[in-house]
Amino acid sequence: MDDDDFGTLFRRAVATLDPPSERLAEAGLQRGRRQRQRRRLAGVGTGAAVLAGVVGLGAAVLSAGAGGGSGRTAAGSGGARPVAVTPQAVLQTALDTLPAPGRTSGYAGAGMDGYSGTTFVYDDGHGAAAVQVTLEYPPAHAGRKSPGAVVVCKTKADGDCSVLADGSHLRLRQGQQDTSGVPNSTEWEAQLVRPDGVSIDIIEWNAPEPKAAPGSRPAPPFTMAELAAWVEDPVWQSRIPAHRATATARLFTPADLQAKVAGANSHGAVDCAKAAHAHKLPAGSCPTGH
Amino acid sequence: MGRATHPGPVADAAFGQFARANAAPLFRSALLLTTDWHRAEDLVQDTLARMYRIWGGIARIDNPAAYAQTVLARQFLSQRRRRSSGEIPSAALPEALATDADADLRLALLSALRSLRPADRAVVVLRYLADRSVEQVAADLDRSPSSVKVQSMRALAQLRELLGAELTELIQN
Repeated sequence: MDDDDFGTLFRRAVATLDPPSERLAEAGLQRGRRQRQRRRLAGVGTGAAVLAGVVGLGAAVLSAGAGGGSGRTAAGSGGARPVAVTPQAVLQTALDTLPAPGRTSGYAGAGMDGYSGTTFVYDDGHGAAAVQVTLEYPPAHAGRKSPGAVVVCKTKADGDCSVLADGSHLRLRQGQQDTSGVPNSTEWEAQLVRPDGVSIDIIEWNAPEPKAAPGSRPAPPFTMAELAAWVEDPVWQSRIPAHRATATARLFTPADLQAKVAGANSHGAVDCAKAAHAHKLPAGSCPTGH
Repeated sequence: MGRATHPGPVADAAFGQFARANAAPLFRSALLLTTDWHRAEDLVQDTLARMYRIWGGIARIDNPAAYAQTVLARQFLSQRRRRSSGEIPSAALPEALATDADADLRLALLSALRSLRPADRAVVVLRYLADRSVEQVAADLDRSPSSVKVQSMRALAQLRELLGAELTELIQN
């Protein structure tokens, strides 16, 4: 077989394939639009005006990136006084940068020094899915760990680790939410630890709750490539302008986390610590008094 | 192709036409690069998204369809660098991949391609599916022509070894 025969072989192997061209074209166009919009919004400031609309909607219908709002805070934010990121601001940033349009609801979250986490339910029309976004960063009083010390793939269950060109460490994992040794919902995760010490961890499930909820769809909504691109987006920042923290504060209160889990538990006797545990949030994230 | 102003509905309509016309050829290359149907779909979408972002300056590109193939190969290698080396093809093959007349040929080739280094795979897909010269591939992938020649020879030798006698039979059937 000479070299030219390989041309015949390659062409014939794929000639009769009938890929979903219309769907691919439309999805490519939409992905391009979102990426272009994100780039355009970089450095334009915060989306407080748009955010007000989101707050008013409650279970908001959001078209990813279509609202014009952005959580970008790195540049051009008008010199606003920076404060530590809040769980509500993490949520708003997640909603601003969803990989695909969908309906979102069930906002909740918690935070403490060096940690802000949020959960919400996303539905693209093919089944409700829980999504959790956590941002961890070295507090001023803490030493910084190297990205390689935080992102570790020791076993297959940890997923696949890789190092990006900028020195960030990325971990991608596809697994099951394990309850008492019985795997139930499917969970997919992307975690990125950047050289600046900020860790962005996004987990999505194929069910509206990570635990104690039947699967609503065959797989979580976003592809691993979309999850990876999402955590790699420079929009995630540990310091944000004070006005963004103020503007997003009404998205939810820490009590929402308790209510969310209590609602899913027929016994109702759930305190914030249990809720935090159920959502994989640190127990210390609950306010005192709970 | 005339210059498309960007952004705007006219440019979007023109891009939509381009995307629909090129999604299938891009997918065919993407399948041989990724060896996986779902990853191929993802790669095509990434490539079209990238093309969309540069669409306003597309008049400076002589052949957007050919350039999209270059973008596809670059995106593939870029994704490979960013992701883990672990490559797990989907367990379930889409029906379209495994039921038509050339299914055996396709599955044998995908299996063999999977054993190649990603960079070598990109070289042979551009050389033998996109029908590009060594010099063109070198420019596409920012390599030297001699490096492309070495990669190409190494990849073909590996494919011959992997496919063996099956190769002639598959082609003749």
